Amino acid sequence: MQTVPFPLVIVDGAKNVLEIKEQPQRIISLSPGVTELLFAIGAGDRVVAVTTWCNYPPEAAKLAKVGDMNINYEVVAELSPDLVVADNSLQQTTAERLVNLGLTVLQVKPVNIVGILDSLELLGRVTGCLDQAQDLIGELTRLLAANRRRVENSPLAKEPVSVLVLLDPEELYSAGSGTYIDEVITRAGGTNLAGGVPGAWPKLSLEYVLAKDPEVILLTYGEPTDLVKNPYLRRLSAVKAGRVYLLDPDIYNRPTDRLIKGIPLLTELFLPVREAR
Amino acid sequence: MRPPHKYVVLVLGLILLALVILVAVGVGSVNVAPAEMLSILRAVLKGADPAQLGGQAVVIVGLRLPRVILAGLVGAALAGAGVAFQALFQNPLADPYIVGVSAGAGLGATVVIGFGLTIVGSQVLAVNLSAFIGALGISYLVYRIAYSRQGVSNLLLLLAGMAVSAFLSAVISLVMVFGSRNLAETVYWLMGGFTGRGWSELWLAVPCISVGLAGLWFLRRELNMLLLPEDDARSLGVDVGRVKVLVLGAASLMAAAGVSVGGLIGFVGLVVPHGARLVVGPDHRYLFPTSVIYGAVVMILADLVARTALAPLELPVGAITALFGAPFFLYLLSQAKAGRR
Repeated sequence: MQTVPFPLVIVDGAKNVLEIKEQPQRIISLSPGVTELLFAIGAGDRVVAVTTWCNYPPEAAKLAKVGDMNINYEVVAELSPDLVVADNSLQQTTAERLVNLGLTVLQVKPVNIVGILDSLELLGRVTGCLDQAQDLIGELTRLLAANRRRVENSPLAKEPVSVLVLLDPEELYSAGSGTYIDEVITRAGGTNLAGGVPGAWPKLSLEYVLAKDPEVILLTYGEPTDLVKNPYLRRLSAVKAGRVYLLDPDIYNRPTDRLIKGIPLLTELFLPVREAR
Repeated sequence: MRPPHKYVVLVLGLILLALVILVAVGVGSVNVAPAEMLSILRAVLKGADPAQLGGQAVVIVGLRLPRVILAGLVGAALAGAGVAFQALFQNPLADPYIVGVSAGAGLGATVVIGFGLTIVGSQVLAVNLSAFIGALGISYLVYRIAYSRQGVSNLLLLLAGMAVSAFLSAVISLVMVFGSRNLAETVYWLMGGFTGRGWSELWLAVPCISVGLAGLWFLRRELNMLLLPEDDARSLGVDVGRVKVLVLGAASLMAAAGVSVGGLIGFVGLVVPHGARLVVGPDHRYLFPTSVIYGAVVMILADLVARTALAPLELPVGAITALFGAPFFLYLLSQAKAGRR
């Protein structure tokens, strides 16, 4: 059994040097992704409060709430946490104000899949759950490698499936480069049609969508039937072939282990497109 | 006019201010019993470290007390600056933002938040300083535009303030587009409020607002002279040009400090002076202190409503002041109309 010594000095994702004197017993999470990671490595029973958006796992949703993007400093301070954890979405002024209250603020930086694995390791170290974190990292790394082999040995390697992500079927908002879903589509054997469009959440023109004619459409909101009703979108190959799927945005928009585990599911959706021909 | 009446209003205001401070420090999204609050304050006055006394002590000493002081100071500054600008421009619609301080502060804050800038590693410090410099810089620019050898022209000040503000709000929109990663934070800053603000803002607010308040208090008789036609004031031996510059400087300093630590909070600087004028009359020896004290009371109450109405959610205080301020202003207007009949 590997033990992590406390006190511990670490450099976090915001390049701050933190001293963790003892194993944290009262943790507050400031993002839904961090909450999921903490529970995934077995530190969940020491989380005392989360944000209103933290709905997974179900135990997390029952915890005290400190706000959403705007946190309530009074509620945070009264809970006397010995560790506050956030990701790179935390506003810098908020981080400073929490530190000014004498709190220890750890920021992880899960900007992509590799970043998620690094964050798991950092969280494991700081919470004293390194063993479980490393087990999970091992499991996820093997899963990624297995899926990569599967894609490389399939027709997807030569010709990735063209994928359109729609956050909103009415307004044609999509997910651009730098988003989690963009990386996940690429790793699963697809090409994101909005991957080269500037901006994280670009609004696509109808012309662009019709010209590119995606083979698969992934919705994170609404219903696949919404596209059938649309006089233009129903002409798309993906709609005609019934390859419109509704994804859970909580899984595909958050930096978590569930996101990584969701990659093979996408590969399952992409493979039949090539095999059918 | 009965002079004692004015003193009663002032003394009542001070008592009210003390009460409002006590209530506002005691009430919030976290419940702290009055006895507990007093024992925390007593322990901290004796030199105890709030962090050692537990979460409630951090709430009272680290968050609520400085926030209430800050809200009171900003309210006093905005109401005091409102009185000064209304006298200077002889215009009842003048508010603390008339010479462009809000647009200047907005630009300063937006640039820092939008592009993630810091000063000595601190973004809080960068936002406060940049907003303050922006506010003072823009009001000085507006003043230079309106200045000529004949002195400062009120009309030019007013128009230049409007034009510069309009130009800056266009620049602010552009900065928000380019710094869109932090868009939400910028929008919340522009809406105004005291969430999480306190000690790290007071070092800027206390000296600037104290100097501004003291300066305008010394100029209270001269403020009365500004209400006269300029020739009449001159014949009474007042150097109108100098008085205007001093009033402009003191009021801009206060407004700039207020807006840089509190964001854009409307109506307090407009409504409180008008309300005070109805009760104590136009004599600035009474009007100025009354406005300042009630400005503080109103702002502390508005912030109290903002952070308790939907607790634990916090509302932008600017929305609260506009929500109550605008109807109250209309009421004042209807009273004025009735008085004219």
